[in-house]
Amino acid sequence: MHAAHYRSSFLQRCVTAVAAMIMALHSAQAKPLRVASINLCTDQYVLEFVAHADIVSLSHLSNDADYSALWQRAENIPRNHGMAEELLPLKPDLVLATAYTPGSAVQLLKQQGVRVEEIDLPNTIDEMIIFTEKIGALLGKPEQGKQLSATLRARLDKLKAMQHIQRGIALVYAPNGYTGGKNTLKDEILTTAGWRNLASELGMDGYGNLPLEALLSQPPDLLIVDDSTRNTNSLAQQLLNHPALRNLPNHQTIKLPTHLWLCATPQLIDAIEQLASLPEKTDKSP
Amino acid sequence: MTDQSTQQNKYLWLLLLVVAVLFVIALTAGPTALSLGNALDDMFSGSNGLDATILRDIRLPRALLALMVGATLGVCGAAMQGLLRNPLACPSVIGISNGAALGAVVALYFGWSGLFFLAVPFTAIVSAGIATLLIFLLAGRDASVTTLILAGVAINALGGALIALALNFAPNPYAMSELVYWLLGSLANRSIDDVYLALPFMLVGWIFLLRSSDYLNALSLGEDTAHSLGFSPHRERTQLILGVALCVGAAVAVSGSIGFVGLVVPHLLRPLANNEPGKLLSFAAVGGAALVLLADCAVQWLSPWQELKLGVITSLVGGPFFLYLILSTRNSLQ
Repeated sequence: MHAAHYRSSFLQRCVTAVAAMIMALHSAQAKPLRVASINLCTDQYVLEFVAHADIVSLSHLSNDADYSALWQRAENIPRNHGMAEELLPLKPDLVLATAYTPGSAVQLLKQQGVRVEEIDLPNTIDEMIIFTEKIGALLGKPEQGKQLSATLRARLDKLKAMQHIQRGIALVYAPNGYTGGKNTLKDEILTTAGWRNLASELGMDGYGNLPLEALLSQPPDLLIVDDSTRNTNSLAQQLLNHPALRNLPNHQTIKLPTHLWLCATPQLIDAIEQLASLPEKTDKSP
Repeated sequence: MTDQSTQQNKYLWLLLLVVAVLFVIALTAGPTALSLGNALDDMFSGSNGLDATILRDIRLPRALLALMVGATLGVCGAAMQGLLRNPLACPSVIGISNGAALGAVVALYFGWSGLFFLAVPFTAIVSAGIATLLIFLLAGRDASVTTLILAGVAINALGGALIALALNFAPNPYAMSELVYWLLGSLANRSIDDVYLALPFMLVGWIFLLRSSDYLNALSLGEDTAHSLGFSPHRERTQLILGVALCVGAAVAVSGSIGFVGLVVPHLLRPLANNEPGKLLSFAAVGGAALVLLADCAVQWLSPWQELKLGVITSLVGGPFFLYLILSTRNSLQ
């Protein structure tokens, strides 16, 4: 009788153990990931895919209307400055960081057993679309990621079909004359929308400051400026009000929010669509 | 007119010619190729062509400011050296330039020009005045050369630290990165508005300083002698301090803190002025204009696309010169 009792309780214990494991697995799948991000660009993807209640902390720029594309969704979410001691008490399940974020925070967090994913941010529009799907899966929303990626791909294809229309020469001119030349995201956005990039044509590679004289010597048909109107008390921003710019011949100016293309995020397709919908340059008499 | 003063006048005219030539050369300096002849034609015929715009709106203000700021720094250096009877005095070394920059920074980045459009030069002038007064308190009368330099070091350090502090707490995202501009100085991207803003204050400052030339001559014979010749030291000193504050404040408000011009120029030109501190003022003004015009051309030739700050060139010239001065006058510094 003793042996039988033991055998049945062993069986009972096995069943209980297996049942417990099944329940644990099931609840782990059902329990959503609590995510934190310490970089502005990864913030955007977290805001895109993760439910508000499951976002533990975002970078301190996440609710800045100028720099964060999804700033409105970031209300009431705790902000961090990339320091490990801000994140550890919040006990996130996953922390997103990039190569540009403070390295020591990543080390400290890993030492404390927190799961940190160091993300390689996309640099081109194609990379961004592929990345959207991958990060959706990472954040526990694979279906949503696939869907968004497909939508973006469709919009991009539509834009590329119209790319051959030569709209004219454009230039992005930010405070201090900051702009992007060849091999930059800004350049790709302009060319996909059918505009030539003045900075690339003047030989600029990467990001840099374009002297005012260079802009005047080959005036663009389209000048794209930052639309931030808050606090313009700086020399960098005063440059955009320089008297020399008032005499630029025959051109359009549009204001595009910086947050549309500061990071490679789905919102940059909005920027391309806006640029592609502008009228082509008017034919100027020589 | 004595032979001596005729000779001096000849030198002054020669210097003025040099400045005129440098001014024209400065108009040709820039990152884009410009035909000066065509641009001048366009400008005077009133057309709004691109060459004319570049010349009128970008290069002309820049060259004018180089001239004005250079003249200011030169004449103030000569005036301070005469007043303090100290060969190492100049607005940047004794901290007046940094003091002025502090005022300009606070007024600009905290938006005071919204309340009062002359806020930036005005605040710069006030803080330049405070720095000058501090120098006088610390090292005014009968102070050794060493005391003056130490006072200058202290005020420079304090000014620089307060500038960095103000920029750190400024609400604007670009503020901190403009620290280098304020501490080294630059004439890039200036416009004719900056010329209009600074010129009235500078003119009044120059007048005050040039009116003191006789006093400075008398002062070189000793304070008591100057007093016995009928000069009121209090009044003359006040006029000089006001003059320096006005023109250095205005200059720094539009160009940042450019170093060493007021140190180098008076020393180089003192022989031409026969060591007369009063006469030296006009020489130093013209010489300062020439030096800054040349330095600004150098900045544009060396690095037309990536901006090099003007203060780098003046420090490369002035720093070694300062060392040379210290070494060569070592005995008289004890």
